[in-house]
Amino acid sequence: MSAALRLMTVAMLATGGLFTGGVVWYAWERIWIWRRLELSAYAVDFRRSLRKADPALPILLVICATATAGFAWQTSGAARTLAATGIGVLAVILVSSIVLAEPINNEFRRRPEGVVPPDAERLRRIWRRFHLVRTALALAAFALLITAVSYA
Amino acid sequence: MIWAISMLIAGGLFAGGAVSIALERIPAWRGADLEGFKIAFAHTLRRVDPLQPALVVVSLISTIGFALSEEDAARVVAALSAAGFLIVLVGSGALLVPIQRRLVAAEPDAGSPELESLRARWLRGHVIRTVVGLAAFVLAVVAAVM
Repeated sequence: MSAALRLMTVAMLATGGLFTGGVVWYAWERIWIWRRLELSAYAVDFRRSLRKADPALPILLVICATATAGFAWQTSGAARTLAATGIGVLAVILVSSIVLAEPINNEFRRRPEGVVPPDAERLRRIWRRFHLVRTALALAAFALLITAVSYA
Repeated sequence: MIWAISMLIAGGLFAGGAVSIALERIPAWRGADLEGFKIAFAHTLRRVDPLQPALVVVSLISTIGFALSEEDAARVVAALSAAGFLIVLVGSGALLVPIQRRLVAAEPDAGSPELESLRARWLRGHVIRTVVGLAAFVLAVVAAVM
């Protein structure tokens, strides 16, 4: 393995692991708690949470996908195929987050703290289901990246 | 191979979870009033307490297994990673868990200065645990790539 490939692999696995761990943490901890909160408390907590996690997780995802592209570029055969599939899954997560989750996030973000958007219960349910699907995809992508490295 | 896979998955999930708590929960808890903090903290502990220690233990066992199955630099780096996970495990059990128990068990009329001090110590301890856990995970990744 060349030094450049090694660097790409470390960046891909480190950011991939942190991204997946962060997404799993939301699914395991926040979603469970948010489900039990009253809507007014949920609106406050969800909005505050967005402020912190919103920049961090997409940045990790983009770095991971970029490093995976570099990894795929420098490998061949099964390693390249698995890495390319991993990029595809990461792209699905990114695009679906922008298309499905962002409009919901904005409903809470653009209102003053404590103001509950209309239809908030439905928004909470859709966001929760979407995040659980996104978590399963993130786990699958990380497993693909690890498997790709084993073929490199 | 199996050691590398479990080391990377468990290490990544642990480090990602610890970083998320440090980035997302700590600012919220730091700004909350003590009663609100106690309730939110107890809820989080109830969810996170079984999972995070289990992930650290799996990470530790996997990095040790990986170190024993490798040679030269990969073994040394994996051993350093295992040492990091061991520090996280022992430090959490010896320092943070007793603070957690005191915080959750504290009576509502317990002295605020004492609770404030416990909260500050736990938050500081978690940041240190996150840095060490993150370093241990990155070392595990480097070892796997060597």
